[in-house]
Amino acid sequence: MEGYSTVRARRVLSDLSDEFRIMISKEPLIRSLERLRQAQGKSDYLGKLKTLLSLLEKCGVECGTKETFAFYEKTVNDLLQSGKFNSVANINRRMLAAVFDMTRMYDSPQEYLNQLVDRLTEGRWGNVSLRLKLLKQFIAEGNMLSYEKAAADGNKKTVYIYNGKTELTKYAKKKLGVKTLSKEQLLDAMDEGVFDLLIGAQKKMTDPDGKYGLIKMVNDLASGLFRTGGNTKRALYMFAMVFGMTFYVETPDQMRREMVIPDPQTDIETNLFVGYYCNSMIRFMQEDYDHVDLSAVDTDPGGSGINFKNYAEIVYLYYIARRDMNPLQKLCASNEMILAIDGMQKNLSETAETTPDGHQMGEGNTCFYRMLVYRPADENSDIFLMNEGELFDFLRDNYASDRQQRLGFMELSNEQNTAFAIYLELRKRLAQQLKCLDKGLDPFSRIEVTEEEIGYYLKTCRENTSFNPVRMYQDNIDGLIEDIKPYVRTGSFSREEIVRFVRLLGCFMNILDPQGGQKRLYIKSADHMSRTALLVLYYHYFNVRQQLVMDLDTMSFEQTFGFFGGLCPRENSADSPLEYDPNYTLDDIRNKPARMVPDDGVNTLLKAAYYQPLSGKNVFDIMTVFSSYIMYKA
Amino acid sequence: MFRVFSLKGKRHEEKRQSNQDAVKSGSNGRFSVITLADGVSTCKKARQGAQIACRVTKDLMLVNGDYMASCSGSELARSVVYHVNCELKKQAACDQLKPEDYSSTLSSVLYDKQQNTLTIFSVGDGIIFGVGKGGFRPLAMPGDSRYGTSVTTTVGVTREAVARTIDLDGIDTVWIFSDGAWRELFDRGLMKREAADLLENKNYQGLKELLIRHHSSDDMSFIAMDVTHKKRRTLA
Repeated sequence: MEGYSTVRARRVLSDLSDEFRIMISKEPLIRSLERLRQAQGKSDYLGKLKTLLSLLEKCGVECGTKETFAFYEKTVNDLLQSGKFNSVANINRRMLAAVFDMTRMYDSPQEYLNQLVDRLTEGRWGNVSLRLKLLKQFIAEGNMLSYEKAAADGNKKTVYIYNGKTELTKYAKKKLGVKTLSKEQLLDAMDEGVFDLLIGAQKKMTDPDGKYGLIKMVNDLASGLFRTGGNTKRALYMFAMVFGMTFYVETPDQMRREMVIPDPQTDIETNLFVGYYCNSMIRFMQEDYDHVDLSAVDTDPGGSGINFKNYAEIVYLYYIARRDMNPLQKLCASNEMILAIDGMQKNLSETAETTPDGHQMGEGNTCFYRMLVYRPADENSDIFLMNEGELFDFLRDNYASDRQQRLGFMELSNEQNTAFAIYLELRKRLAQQLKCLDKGLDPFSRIEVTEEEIGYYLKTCRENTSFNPVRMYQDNIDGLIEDIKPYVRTGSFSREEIVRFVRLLGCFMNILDPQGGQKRLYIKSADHMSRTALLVLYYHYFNVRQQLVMDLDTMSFEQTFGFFGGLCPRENSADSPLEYDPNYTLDDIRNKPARMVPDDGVNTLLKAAYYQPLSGKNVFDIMTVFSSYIMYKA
Repeated sequence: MFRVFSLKGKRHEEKRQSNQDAVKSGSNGRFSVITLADGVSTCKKARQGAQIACRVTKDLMLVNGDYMASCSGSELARSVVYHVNCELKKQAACDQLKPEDYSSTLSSVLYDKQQNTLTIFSVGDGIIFGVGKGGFRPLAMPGDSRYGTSVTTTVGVTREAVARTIDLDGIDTVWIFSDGAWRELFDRGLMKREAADLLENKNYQGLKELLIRHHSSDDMSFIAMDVTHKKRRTLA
């Protein structure tokens, strides 16, 4: 019932939980005892005691709840002197080995895309390489991303969405020794040799309108080389059209002649924007990145989701959702509509209409633009039910197309105002918590912070030193191999794998580092907003909360992951199996509504910002929570 | 009134395991109910969990139909989830296992003949839809599986469940399909013409033959309930 990737993700969470269940150091025990000391005579004493007893149980010591504080203190002190604990160095080695194991369990973007391609084509292209499968499909179904149209002089001209047809045809003719070529001959002639054309090619030749544009695009997709400037996203939409992917548009709740449902196997958002594009940190473990200049690729692990404010993406989705057109027709129609709107170079500010329900068109709000696609209730406002002429008029009037000579059309309207507002509010909350920590104040007090204080306190955010050993190992790969080899559980590995692992961790640390690297705590405008920035900010907020209010020392990794997302461990609702009472009746449900502790997790924020929620299938999410988890364990 | 079909998938045949789909129906004077559950194959007691989920839901809805048909969606979801999990916990205690070992999806429809309404509950990747003269009406879509399929024991599942009561509004027959079955009826999200014709004509035998022909690796099941409203003739 569940896909293979989903089952594997559950195993990762479970395996990590098992690994760290027994990895206790002295610090959590000492902290727990101190909290119990401070809670004596107070209402939260019992809660703090249960936490301590749980830790002691993990160390193999069982105690009852009726003993005196002095008894518990002696028990802990005896344990601390017993030598049962892992040294910090040992814990770090095991942690690094566990993370290495974890990265080996995730599909790389290439593996993921290969499975997707085989599924969408039902294995049509056999066992050739992924890039060759992609190229053949673009030839077979997409005419190499080119089409004929009538020119002004009445003749036909060829339009190239991506250039490359001429070079591919030339390659095939030369290989076969023929002067004319059928499609079948062209397909047969394609082999790995065609990609040698990229070797030594100048950058201009590999741009979308360069002579090797299509070959380069295919190669990048297959290698998981995500480019900046909207290029990868545009390639994904090309892929979606050529491979017959779907985009589900909800329709009003009534009888319909045709039954259409979301298809998770072919849906573009599920498979490309959540699956392939988002789990991109694993690509740093791939051989393809061994000689790549990281400044030329998009290192943001979050990728980007569908931007509903960008007219080109709406056009692509509109045609992907059409079931009455073949791939070439979709490519042609979408490209023509985009070119026509692009030619207008129109600003949103030129539009001043108001919708019947009071929305101001062109207000730049993500929520508003999303609802144009996802609002099923009012059939008349569903833009995906419009015909092409109506859609063109609507996009022309209500979406920005003015690129101001500096942006590609895929980069338009990238500002994420809603997400940025959430980010700023969270950043203020983080500064407030840091101030409470600094001043010894009640963390739930509504303390104000000035802009200056926000800047000041953000600088005090801690780097997670648990990954510091990696900095030591960057020039000592053999040392790292020696240290983690006894603890790696996923089989033998090569030196190259460890080198790539260090590269991955380096990228990861750069992203999480509060004061260096990519400065995710200091995003200045909605243009630079991303899911990664919000997640990194929340990570630092969560770490401070750990210090202030939470008893996370005894939680398993899986529980921490749930808590980070938004499941409070003290949640007490009808969903919790622990609370089920076999004698419960329906009257009890009616009379006693569920008691829920307010959701303070990152998923509330991600959802409000229209980002994907925390996921066990996303290795960056796993590593971020993991970094929090071990912050106070070692 | 009810039509049922359930076929063990090839995967379970090869491994000599049982069919992990469960299907149940029931009726009293006023209410009729159909339920379908698909056990999570990685769980030790998938089949038993699916059977428990179906049985509990069927009994709950028949005995408390009045309440179920009139309460809010969230109350409905909580009632079903709670009762199912109570039973799973009891069984788990007997077998010295965890309730999660009995996880399954769960879909059900309660038909109130008096009020002419359908009360729908669904968790997981089953599908519920109505068929009538006007065509098709989706009543519960497969849940969003991007982050894992929700099942009866998923924490927070009441928030993700489809739970609502609607008027019949032209529906003649209600269908519940497990994912192993409905995947054979659709091609990239669009119902195949052959399947649509069989459903519109209530050709149950033809539908069974189609599924047998496409015998997939997953268990395939459906259950259908005729809800054609027969008006009572009033005596002059």
